[in-house]
Amino acid sequence: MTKTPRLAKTVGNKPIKRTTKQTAKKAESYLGVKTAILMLSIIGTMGGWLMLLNQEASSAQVTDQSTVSFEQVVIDNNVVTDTNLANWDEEMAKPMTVSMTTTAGESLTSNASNQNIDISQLRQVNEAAPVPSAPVRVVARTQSSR
Amino acid sequence: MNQPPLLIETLALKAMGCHIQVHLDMTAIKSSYSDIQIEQQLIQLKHDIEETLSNWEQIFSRFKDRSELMCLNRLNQCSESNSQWFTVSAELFEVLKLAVSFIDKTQGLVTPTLLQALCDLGYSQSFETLTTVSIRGQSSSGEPLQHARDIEFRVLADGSHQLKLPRGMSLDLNGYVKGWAATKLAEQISWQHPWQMPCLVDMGGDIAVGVPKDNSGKSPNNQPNNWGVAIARPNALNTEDEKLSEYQSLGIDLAVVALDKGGIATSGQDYRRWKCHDQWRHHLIHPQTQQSAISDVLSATVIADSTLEAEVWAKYCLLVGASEAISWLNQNNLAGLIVDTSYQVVTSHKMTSTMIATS
Repeated sequence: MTKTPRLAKTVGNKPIKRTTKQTAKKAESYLGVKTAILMLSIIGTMGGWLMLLNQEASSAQVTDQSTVSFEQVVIDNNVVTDTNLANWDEEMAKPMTVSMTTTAGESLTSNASNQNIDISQLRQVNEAAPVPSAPVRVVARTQSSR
Repeated sequence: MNQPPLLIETLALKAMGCHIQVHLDMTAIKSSYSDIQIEQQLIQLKHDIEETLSNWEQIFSRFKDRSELMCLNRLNQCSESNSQWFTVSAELFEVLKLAVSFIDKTQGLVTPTLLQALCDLGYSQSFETLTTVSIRGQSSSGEPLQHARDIEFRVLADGSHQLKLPRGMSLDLNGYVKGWAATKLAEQISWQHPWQMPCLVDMGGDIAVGVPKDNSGKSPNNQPNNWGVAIARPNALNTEDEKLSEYQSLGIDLAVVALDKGGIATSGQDYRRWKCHDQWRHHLIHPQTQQSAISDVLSATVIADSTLEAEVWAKYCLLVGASEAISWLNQNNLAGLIVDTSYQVVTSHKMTSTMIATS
């Protein structure tokens, strides 16, 4: 009857188990990192798309009903701007003309210096149309008691 | 969005010394009842209103000797005791109590105790029967102002209403009754009547809006029921004024306001005027001088929660003068319009948002 050396068996098996466990632990941690990176990338992509969609939606609202295109027309393209103050010509100093056309075909002409567009006017198109109030009929007149 | 047109029926009657018009919004009713049913209901309603007004006239008129108010005044004059309780109708009790509640709010300027002063100045009979020529008035008695605050009220266990007046005090509720009656009628029509119709009651210029309780003032299409009320340009005081023709050419109305609840009233020295001892008098008495008030306000129009309240505030504005009236209106967030004796129009901040048209 051979007596199995308990110690040898125990001692002999230990390093193998430890190596396996370590490998498994490393694999697990890599998997965790991978999953986290994957999740982050998915979230990032989705977030990006959402932001893009949101931007598109809001810009579409502004131009939804009245698309305004700006067609900048410089009066004389051949004129080279003279930066010498001595040769300053008041005619030259005039701001260039900017022609604005709407999709409706209306032409709006303005000076370049005035080309700031009133954003509130653009926003007005998004405002809900006011609910028509009930008709008011004048039926009486207040005055000193008669 | 097309809205159904407003269908308004108007009942016109004359009572309590004024022309009364009751405008009924029939928009919701027309679809549910036949024309015959509506006609019958309106005849009945007009009859009920006439009966109610006749009853109130018997209580409050100061030009009817047998009215409850004048009986009370006589009894109090004859009373030797200083502590006599008089049993009165619930209506007289209610209006007098309301009138007394405004004394402190108006620094004693609007009070129901000026009957003697009015009579002394010649306004002792219905204005329609007063001649426009000189009236022989007596000099004001100049009695010390009797404080209406001393009037006592009580309701007995059996439900009877009683009040005790300071000895010799005479009451005049004309400055309150029309406003009170306008609001009461409007409530009766829009709350108590089975059809609960939105309405506007015009008691000779003191106006109340009746709003059905169940729909909080919304019409069938869920819109607030707005009534247009014009504010009349007051009569000119001096017919020889150079600016008169220019003033009159401006039209009969100053502005139009939209009312969806409450009441509006105008008080002015441009009407109910008479000549006494070659001097023009009017019915708005200053309690301290016991004479017709001297004010730079020709007329004042105020919007308030009830017509009686609007009537009191309008009178108060006239008594305190244009400048103080406007700042007081603004302080109390009330809509008011003042025309001064130079025919200049000034409005409070809140009135500006209420007006829908100006001349």
